[in-house]
Amino acid sequence: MPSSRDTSGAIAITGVGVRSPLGDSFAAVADALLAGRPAIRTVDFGTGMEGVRTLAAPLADGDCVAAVPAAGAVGRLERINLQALAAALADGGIDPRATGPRLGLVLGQGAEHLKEWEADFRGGGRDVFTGAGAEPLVERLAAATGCAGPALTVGAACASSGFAIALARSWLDAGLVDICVAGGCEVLSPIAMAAFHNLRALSRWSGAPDQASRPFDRQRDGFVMGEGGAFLVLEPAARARARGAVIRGLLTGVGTSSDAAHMVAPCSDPTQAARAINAALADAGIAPGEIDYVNAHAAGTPVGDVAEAAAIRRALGDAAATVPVSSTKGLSGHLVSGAAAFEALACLVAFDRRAIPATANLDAPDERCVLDHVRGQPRERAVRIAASNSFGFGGANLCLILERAA
Amino acid sequence: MPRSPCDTPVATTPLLVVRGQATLSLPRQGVDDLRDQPPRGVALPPRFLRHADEQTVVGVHAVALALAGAVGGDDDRQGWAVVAAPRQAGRTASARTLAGWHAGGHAAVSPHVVPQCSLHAMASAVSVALGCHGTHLGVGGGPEAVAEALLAIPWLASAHPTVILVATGWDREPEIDGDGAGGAGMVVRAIAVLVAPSAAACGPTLSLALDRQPPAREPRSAAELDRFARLVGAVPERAGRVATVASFATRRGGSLRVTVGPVGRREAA
Repeated sequence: MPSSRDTSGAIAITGVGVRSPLGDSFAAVADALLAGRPAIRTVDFGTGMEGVRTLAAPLADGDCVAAVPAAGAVGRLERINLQALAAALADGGIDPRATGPRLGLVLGQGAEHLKEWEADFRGGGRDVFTGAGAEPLVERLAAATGCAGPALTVGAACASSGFAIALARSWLDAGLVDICVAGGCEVLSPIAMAAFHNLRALSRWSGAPDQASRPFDRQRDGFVMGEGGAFLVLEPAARARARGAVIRGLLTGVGTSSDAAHMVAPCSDPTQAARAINAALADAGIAPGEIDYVNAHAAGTPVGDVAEAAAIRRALGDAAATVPVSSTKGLSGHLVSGAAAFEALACLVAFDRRAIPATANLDAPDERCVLDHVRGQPRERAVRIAASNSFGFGGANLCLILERAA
Repeated sequence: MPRSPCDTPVATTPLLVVRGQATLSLPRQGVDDLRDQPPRGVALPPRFLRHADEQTVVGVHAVALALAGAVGGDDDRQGWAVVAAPRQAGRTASARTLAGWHAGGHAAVSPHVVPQCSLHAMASAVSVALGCHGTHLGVGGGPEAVAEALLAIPWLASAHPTVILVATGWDREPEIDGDGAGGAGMVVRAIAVLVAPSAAACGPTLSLALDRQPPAREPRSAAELDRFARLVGAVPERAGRVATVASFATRRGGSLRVTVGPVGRREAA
């Protein structure tokens, strides 16, 4: 980033909260990403999954996936999201009750009702049959934390929490709110595991579990689900500086597009994904060669990784040969609704630690995925500008441009 | 009457032009009959709606109706955005899935349940059906989905020539069984609106204001789709003057006020 670059109108990231397979704090996640030890293992999903090798990346603290929910208890989905949201507010030094209606909340959550009906059903409830149920999750999160401004839930499949961040920025730009918390967390569940398994989207790797998630590798055969995610506190940079907040990074560009191709299958045509990346670059006012790191969506699916590599090459042009790229899903698994926010946090780690996490298990890059891959070891580099890609079922494409605060 | 300081909106949005609107209500059997019928003027892939949620089926057809009556603005749909606001979408398929899983384990879980029953599904279906390459997303999912969708509109309208907003829900949530059956007397409703930035089209205008106060006349418990339907119905007849046509409750007693205004400048000129 040239020193003359004006980011005074940018949105600052002044707080982060995380629950993930790699840790539950910024420092823990940073250490784990750079240590390069995958959190993927065989997970007990309880009855109903017999005969399936259930590889997944559960939360680092051992919160039990298979436990049957107790009646009346706060469900895992709410609990995990609330923990990450509260941690973000605390990290940002935000007192919601003092901020009032100018504090917004945007939750990225792809299938809230399906997960809550499942949890209720496993606990003996009948909400899915009657249509009864609790208040929307975003309402409960807002009430529990005291966020009193506008609050909404955004669903864009695997890009949900990234779209939440994008929408939060638009609220800030429009003056609808002064501060907005955005992000989301995913939970593992038997039904999601079974559905993705039957869709043949999951890895059926028969070797060591921690080698199952293999973005861009020739032997990749699907993604591995993980759980958790992140929330980011966003506010105008000028406001953040005025209150003396610690600025972990700046959100300077957002690009979105839709493949409009298929409800389920990844789109092999990279045109629209490349358009989202180019739109984000244009929004940030930067050239492709100024990017120091691309955090790829790359989940380890045979078609999706090839399409993304092609999209990156098309969007960055000649610069693609020298812009480092890695996917953190080899370590964390695919956090689905929470993936985009968690991977934005991974970019903040690269700023903070001056190093790019390596793609785990990238032993032999697919020749159709030619990029400047970071593999084996983290790459030391003073990362100033990062692009984070997220792509979802149904063709929702998103690219966020993040910059290190000056 | 002068407004008190507490009536001052927290924020207001730029004017939006309403290019078209439609409502569609169908009983459950009618929904199933529509699954294999492409909407008029829309070339859908074969069996495109076969596994879709009931709300998605009715939503896609309502959007087609709104398109058929659209006026003004750019008709190249490639750049359009889609925001969809279903309410408890995917419940019949989820009931079937959970009952099947209970009886038969993982093998009984449909691979369609995640892609077709998630919050994004209806927005994706509209995007695929119409070839819209702009942003698409699902919003809300709960009883206040319409207000949440309206809160997403300013973002999308600032970057797209037209935004399709489609809100859906069962008229009354049906009791369903483990086969996903039930709801025989129930109706699925969909309301579709096409909006554009005021500089890009002509027609009646909408503006949104986020108020600190709760809705003036509407109890929070009133059916949201009813209010939205009234809003949509009021657009053409109120186009000649400014009128607040609907208020939607938001968090902590605040509200999102929707105002219909005179026709946009392009038509007036």
